[in-house]
Amino acid sequence: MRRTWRWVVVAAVVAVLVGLPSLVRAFPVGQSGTGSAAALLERIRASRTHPYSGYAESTGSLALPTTDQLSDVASLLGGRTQVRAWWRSADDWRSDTVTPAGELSTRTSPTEVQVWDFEDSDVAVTGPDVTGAVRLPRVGDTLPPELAARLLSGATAAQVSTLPPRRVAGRAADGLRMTTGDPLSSIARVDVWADQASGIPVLVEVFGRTGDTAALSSTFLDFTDTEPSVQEVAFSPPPGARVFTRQRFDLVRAIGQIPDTNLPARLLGFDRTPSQPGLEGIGQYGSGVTQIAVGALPERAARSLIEQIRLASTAVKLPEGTAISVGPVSLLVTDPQVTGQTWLVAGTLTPQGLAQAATQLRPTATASS
Amino acid sequence: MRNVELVKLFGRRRTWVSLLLLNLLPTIVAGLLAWTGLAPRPGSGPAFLSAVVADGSLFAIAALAIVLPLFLPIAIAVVAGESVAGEAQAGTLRYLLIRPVGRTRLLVRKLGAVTAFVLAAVLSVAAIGFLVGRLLLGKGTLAGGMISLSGSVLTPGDIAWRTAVAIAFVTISMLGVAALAIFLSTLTDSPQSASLGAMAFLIGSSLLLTVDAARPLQPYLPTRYWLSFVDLYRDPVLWSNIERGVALQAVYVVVFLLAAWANFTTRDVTS
Repeated sequence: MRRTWRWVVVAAVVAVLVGLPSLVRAFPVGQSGTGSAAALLERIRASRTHPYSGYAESTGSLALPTTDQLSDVASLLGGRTQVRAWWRSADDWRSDTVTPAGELSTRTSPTEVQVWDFEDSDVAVTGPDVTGAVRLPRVGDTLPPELAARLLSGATAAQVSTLPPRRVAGRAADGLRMTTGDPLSSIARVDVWADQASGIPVLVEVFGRTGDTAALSSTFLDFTDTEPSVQEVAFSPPPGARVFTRQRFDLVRAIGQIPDTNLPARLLGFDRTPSQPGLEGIGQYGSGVTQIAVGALPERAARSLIEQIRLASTAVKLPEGTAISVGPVSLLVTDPQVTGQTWLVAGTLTPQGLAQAATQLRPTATASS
Repeated sequence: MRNVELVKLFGRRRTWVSLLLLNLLPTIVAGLLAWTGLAPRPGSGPAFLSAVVADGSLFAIAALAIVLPLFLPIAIAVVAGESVAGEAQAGTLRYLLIRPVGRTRLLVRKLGAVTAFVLAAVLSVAAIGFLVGRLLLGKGTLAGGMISLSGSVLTPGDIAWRTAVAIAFVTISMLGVAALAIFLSTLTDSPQSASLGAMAFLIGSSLLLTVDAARPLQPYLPTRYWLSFVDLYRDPVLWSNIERGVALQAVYVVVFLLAAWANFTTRDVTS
């Protein structure tokens, strides 16, 4: 008996310590009183200008092909990224990508974007962000508020329903589910939990049509809805750092600078959105979770991309070209002998959707070549 | 009795040899950096090693980062693994327990001595790293300041308090190793088995940190937050991982010490 009670004490302490996190998670979270799903959707949209700061982690399971130009995107959407964010307004914020022994800090101001890279001890300066511009995904895009804003932009009241509230980053959050009705969309649903106090999204999960695991999820580990100070966001290059000016777009600019090759005004029933100056060669269609981008690929970029796609086990050879689907994102590089020109068709489409889009491009491309 | 354990521990030649070896590797690295002037790129290699060529004072932090993943836990596992099992192997444990001292009290004294060793090991690495860095690599040009990972300039005052917290954090992280090795030391009469058992546990933990499939387990692995002291040199400090690291180590220390107490106070001592 004397031997036993000590081990009982040990077992009890272990049980309490192990069970404590689950107990805290299971503690019921009350409804905020926002009401219907449509009201919550509006509240989330209204929070777009609300300042916040926090520490977020995004996890992607999208095994994108890696090219020289796409390596950052591949690691962003195919791995785990930890980001600190201080958001004062859309043109005054900071996001730091945290690595075990380094940091990539992006400071956005009304006049420029400065990216401090500790590993290279340099500061890359680019022009200010252009609203609605076609560009590659960046770390800041995976922050829950940014991701939710993009995915819910085209959502209607008929597409949304409520989810049980839960605790995220120690705060009570209301849940919203958006189910896409579009049969061509490769995204099945998007689950968003918004902070009850501010309405700011604190957890976003994106699910494809296959599998129960989120293809992309982003959650705050720490979060506060108070406004960050000017000092926290401000930045001056440190002594000895190399400061240089960088072109904003690499692959995207290379595609976009090819003159507009009479891209159709409508593709798969979606209207084309106006292109940004200098990027007339990229056609953007759709909104919300169903989005398509089309552009003519320069020969060198096309060769590199096709080589990488062929290495992937999920690559599919279609009559129109070579396609790959990674989670909800699909990408097709067309065969110039079939379409008259090498096109890159990318978006949240099913493989059937890609094939249809390529078919609609074919006459235009052939005519222009 | 506390003094007896401390005197016994620091009276052993192998304690000093292990402290010497622990400081040898960073010293060799500092010598090579001073000789060749070739530092790894920022962000690659051990944390802050890239910055020490410009400012030798920072070698205190770099030295901790060099020894933390392997050498420091080995030294602590060896010393803590020997605390009880070493007495049993030498045949002195029975005689220790004949004295009018409770087993719990004896265990607490052993723990105190091991904690003193952990503190001595961490402080010696930081202090010798600082001295070696200043002597071999010189003083920086930023008037004693350094560039944080976030790109801001930290003043000497900032560096001082952050380094003090880093030393405390590394010490707490190593107490988890010590508690595990002490527990294993109460299970066996072989100090080598206790030390190797502790090391196997830590190597397993480090390995699981690299496996994506083990993600749900990772926040609870003992080595998960060891290198989070680097977060002290971000601006502002990223406290989340530091706090989680301290809480996790506290859980391991409490659980393993309780298990050591439950086992040691009830086991049959025959050697």
